[in-house]
Amino acid sequence: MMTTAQQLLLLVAIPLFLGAGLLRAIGIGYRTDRLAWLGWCWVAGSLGTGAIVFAWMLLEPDFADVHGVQLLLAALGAMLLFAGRARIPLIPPAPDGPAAPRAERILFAAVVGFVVLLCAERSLVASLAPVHENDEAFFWALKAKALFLRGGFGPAYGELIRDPNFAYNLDYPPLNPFLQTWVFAQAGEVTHFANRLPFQFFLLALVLILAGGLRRVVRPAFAAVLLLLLASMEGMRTFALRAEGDLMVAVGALTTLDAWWRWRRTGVPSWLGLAALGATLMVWSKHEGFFLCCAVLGAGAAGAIGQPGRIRSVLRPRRRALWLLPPLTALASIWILNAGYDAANNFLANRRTAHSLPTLVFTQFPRHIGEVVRFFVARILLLPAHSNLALPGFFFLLLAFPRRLWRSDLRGPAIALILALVGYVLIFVGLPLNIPKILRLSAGRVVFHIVPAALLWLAYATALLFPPASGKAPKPG
Amino acid sequence: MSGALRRPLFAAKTAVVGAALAAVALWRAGLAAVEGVRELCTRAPLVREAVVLPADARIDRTLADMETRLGFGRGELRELHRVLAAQVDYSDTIFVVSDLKHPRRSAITSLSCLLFPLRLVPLGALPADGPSADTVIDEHTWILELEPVPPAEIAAWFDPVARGSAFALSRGKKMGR
Repeated sequence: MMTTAQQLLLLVAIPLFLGAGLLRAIGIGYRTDRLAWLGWCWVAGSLGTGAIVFAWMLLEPDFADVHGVQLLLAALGAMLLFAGRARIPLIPPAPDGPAAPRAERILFAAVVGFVVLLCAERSLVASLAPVHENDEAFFWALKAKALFLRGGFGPAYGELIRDPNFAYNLDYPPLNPFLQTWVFAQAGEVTHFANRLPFQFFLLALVLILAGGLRRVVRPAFAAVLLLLLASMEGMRTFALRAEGDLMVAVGALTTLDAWWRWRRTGVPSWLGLAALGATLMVWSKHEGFFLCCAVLGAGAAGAIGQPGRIRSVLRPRRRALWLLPPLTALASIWILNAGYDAANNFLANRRTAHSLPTLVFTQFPRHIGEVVRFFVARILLLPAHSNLALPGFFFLLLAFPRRLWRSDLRGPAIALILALVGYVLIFVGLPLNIPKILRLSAGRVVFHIVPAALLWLAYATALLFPPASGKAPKPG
Repeated sequence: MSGALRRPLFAAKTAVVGAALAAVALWRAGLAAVEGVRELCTRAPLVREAVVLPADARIDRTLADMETRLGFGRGELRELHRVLAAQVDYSDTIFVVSDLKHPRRSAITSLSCLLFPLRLVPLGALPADGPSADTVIDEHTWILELEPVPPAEIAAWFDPVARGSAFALSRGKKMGR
């Protein structure tokens, strides 16, 4: 059960190196954004590692070959780095955000360090207890253990997971179990602590990506304030303790929004590649990630009403549409796996009720909508532990300056956030479960998916509404 | 409203909203910073323990905490974990028959996670919500009565001689509801 320091180092270093290669291949390097780059590396590297582990599991592997796979990942990273350097121009370093005195910049750096330290401390304290309860144990780790102990996607795995006494929610997307299986493969056994490591690094990635995004648009002092607001939220504690998929959805949503804005404001197509990686992370982490992608598409469609040229302009030149391939491939892999193992999505065809989620939403709407909305407003939106200033601030600014914000490029993300929130309310209305209990258990966790993105929106909105003394809103790079 | 009037009104509204937002943000961020510093200072001993304690000791500590939290006897879960880890074939399935109620029955699921692929299935009572009709009860299946747990006897339950008599109530049969 011991994981050596060398194994821990490799667990982190290999995905980071692969991620650096993947990013360089789309034109993003360390100098592009010194703060966010490491976080993006973890996002890209985890997706790359997950994809290779997926292929490896299909081959019903002998886990003694793990060193070969480590070498393959490292070689892939090196190849992408060198090929990228030779062929793809690097996005120029992003200019710093609004000018600020040195003391303010030092304050921001200190707050970033403080929040990173806080995340590291919470992660270390989490390792006092093994993975043994909650969704991290019953949904995610169990699936990874089955993959590892039954040697990948073979008949033995199928036999085990079809056992009615085995597991819950077999239809959940596979990235989390793949990353845990990767940890088991490197340790040579099932671990009860080290398998949280990949997810705890997503926590650091979230902090760095948000810090990088905020610093591009607002003064360092305000960026520091928003970062502290994030650090004190319940989600930041919970996800340091548990290897669950929700944190990855939040990181994916933030990455997608940040990259989309950078693309909008610079026109550099590489940012669309990063947005695609963020969307892939969402889709491959939890079904809610797919739902959020639908909210983004819905916002895009709403923005294009009466202006169909807008959608055409996003997909021109046509090869830009290729960026849809990673999330679509992730989606296809989930469908294929679920079809192969007869794991139906609970929401589309609920086994308890034999009704689909839309039917349940419709039939349960009159009974539950009031209770769910009341809970969301009183116990999520207005409770600092769950959304701090992020969501109240979002609605407050939208209500105070509707026309100004509606005419800017903040409209699309605002529609997406509202659609996501309304969608989550409807999903809770349609759950065939004890509604008060499930709200108490998971509403805060689910809303955390959009909270970091809402903080970034808040930063862009304040930059637009309260520009620095020069009178111009900063243009992020 | 004329443009001349609208502009100062808009400026005033922006100033008020900006000041309100900044005040709330500063207040919440200040609280967050104080809370964070306090967390870093007070939890330093826990960090040290997490770094120093070996994995088995941390698992024992967690089980001890569950015993206290969920109202088990002192040492019950730890002993059960130790015995199961040492003596039972990992391809076994154990149906734990007990009158454990939530959240106490979650202790059984937690043990199952720690001992996977050995499966402990917490049941209210057999056969009402017992093994499903598809479950084959064979030599890898145990039906274990667990309430109360007598730590001293647990090892004897899994003694190879005792196996198949006291606790394997329905071995070799296909269990129906």
